[in-house]
Amino acid sequence: MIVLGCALIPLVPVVLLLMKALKGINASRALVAAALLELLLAIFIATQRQPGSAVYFLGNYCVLDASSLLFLMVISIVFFGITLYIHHRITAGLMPQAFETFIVRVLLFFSSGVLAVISNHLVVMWVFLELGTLALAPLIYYARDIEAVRASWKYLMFSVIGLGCNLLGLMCIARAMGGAVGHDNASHLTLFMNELQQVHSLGEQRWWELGLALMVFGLGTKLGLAPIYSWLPDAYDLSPPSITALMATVQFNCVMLCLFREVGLLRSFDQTLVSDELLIMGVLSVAVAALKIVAVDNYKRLIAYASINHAGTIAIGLGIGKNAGYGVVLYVVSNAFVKAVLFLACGNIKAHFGTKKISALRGLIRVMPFSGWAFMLGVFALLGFAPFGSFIGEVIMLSAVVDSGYLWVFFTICIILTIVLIASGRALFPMIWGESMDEGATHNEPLLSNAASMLFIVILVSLGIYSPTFVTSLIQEVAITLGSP
Amino acid sequence: MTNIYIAFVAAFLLPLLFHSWRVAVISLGIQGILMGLILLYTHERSASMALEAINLFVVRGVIVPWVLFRAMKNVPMPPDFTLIRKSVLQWLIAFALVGLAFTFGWKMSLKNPLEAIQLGTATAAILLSMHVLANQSHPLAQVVGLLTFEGGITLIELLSPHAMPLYAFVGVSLVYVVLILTCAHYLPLLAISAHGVNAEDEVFL
Repeated sequence: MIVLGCALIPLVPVVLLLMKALKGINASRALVAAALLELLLAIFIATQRQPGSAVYFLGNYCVLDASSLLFLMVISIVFFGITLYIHHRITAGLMPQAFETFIVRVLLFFSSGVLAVISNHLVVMWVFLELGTLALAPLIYYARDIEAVRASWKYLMFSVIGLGCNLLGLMCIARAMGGAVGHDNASHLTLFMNELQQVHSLGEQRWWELGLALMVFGLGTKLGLAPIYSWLPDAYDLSPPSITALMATVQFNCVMLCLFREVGLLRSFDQTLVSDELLIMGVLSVAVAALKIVAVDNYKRLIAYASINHAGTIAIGLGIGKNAGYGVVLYVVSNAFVKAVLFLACGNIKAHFGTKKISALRGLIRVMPFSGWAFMLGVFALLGFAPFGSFIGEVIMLSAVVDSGYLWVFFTICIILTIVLIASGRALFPMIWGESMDEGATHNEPLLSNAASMLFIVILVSLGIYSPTFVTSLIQEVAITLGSP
Repeated sequence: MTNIYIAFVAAFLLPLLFHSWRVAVISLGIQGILMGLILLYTHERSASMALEAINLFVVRGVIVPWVLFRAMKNVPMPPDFTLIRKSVLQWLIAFALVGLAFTFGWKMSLKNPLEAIQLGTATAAILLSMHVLANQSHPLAQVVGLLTFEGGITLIELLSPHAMPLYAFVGVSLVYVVLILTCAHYLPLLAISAHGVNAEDEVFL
């Protein structure tokens, strides 16, 4: 029941805010307090858990296993950091008035995310992913910009279609397992994950093959994988920085967990179908993102394209499976912190310079030392440099690609990653270190504006060098569900 | 029974012919009622079936058109509103998609003609909604496309003789209601911005 508390904690301030019992700065403080309590609870649960155990509760609808716990911890840490950032923006007067609605939606979104993470039923998990999307979409245009309204609408449409394809896939699986109306071939149907692990047959093959393909395609769309990725750059670019960070970290990880669950449970029925689909979507995404990165002159959009690139890399690792499992999980976890550091730093940079144009900025590290360093380290982690966790994850995934005999994938990825490295470096390094056009004084940044980024960078380095035993054990357990030996 | 499926196909094909947004919205309600009838004819009576029927008749049949009409009140609409562009090619594509959908339904359910028709109808709804979404930039047309797509998913859900567990059913229904309300919230914002009104307060308040 303590786990359920994780989902209910964010709802307490929501109720108080809706009753108008909290206003102004107190609303912002309540947001940070709820996030901190959430984080402490997640860490407490993680330290109390027996390795390899899974606890089912609420009539089997919720589960606390390695996957749910790992992702609960990741999203709780990231969410806490983002709430600190939101609190800073509110206290600095950088948010429009009447931010109570903003906070209510952020908390509802996070609560949906937690419930999705601990769901043990595939349709219930889908419900919470969709509710999270619906809570978040209007926050994209919180800055009251017409372009952002359009981006928000695009995000909503594509997300609903993507998740709709996923639900369609689940319904096809249900039809495959449950038989047809009016026929005596009806068999046992379940979409509870623990029961699906025990199932030896999914029924009619053409139905579950169709279902499996649609489920992966739908979640791929929600993750921003090619071919349906066009919503992502607009939504990430035009949202307020905290919302972009929430989309790129909390939401991305919740959807990724759903993909892990579905692929882990169902790939054994048709290894080739799932692997080929993920590999095609992954390679396409990496290629498309590289082409866009070469041409872009907007640092926030560049990171958005890099997100597509990363989602593609994860899809490739997931498609390969087996030995890539540990690398995929480590990469996904690291990816959450990299995106959070970069998008929050982008917010600070935009707030100070008033532009998102790369060509208009030089000498960032001199003018904004804290944000400049955070941005620089984030870019290093983004490009897969050591000693960050993303580096180790990428190396493990690439070596698994070679081990599996997919040499064409390996060479394609290496070429594309080189293009991304050169294009990103050429655009971003002068922005960070170049000769500053503005010779004015160094901007005095408040500690709160970069506190979250500092925390995330420490975690990123820790993931690459040394992690506590319970974290490594959790990552290993999740990797096993993905087929890792 | 087959007549209900024919009526359902007509309910999402006919709005393509009329240049009226009201017809498109009413057709969504008709689709909901027809789905309710399909449920009554094909499934055994049970408590979960009754809930699903209420959802289809009340939420999809009545509430959806009502919410959309309310949202479109005072929103300027183009006189030539269409769901797909007026061209022979677009029409040919639409009919080809319907043909393709029923061929697919037949291939998937060779031994069960009724299921083949239902699957064909559902697939036609999904493919045509994609066609509308790919062609249209008007937000209301996109909402009609999106809700037709959701209708297709529901028809596929109705292929299974098993009812969804209660919590899952309540969750899916809740998502649908919140989706409708969210779309209704966006429609005035998008329609006004599409007409070139830049006064932010007018759009956002």
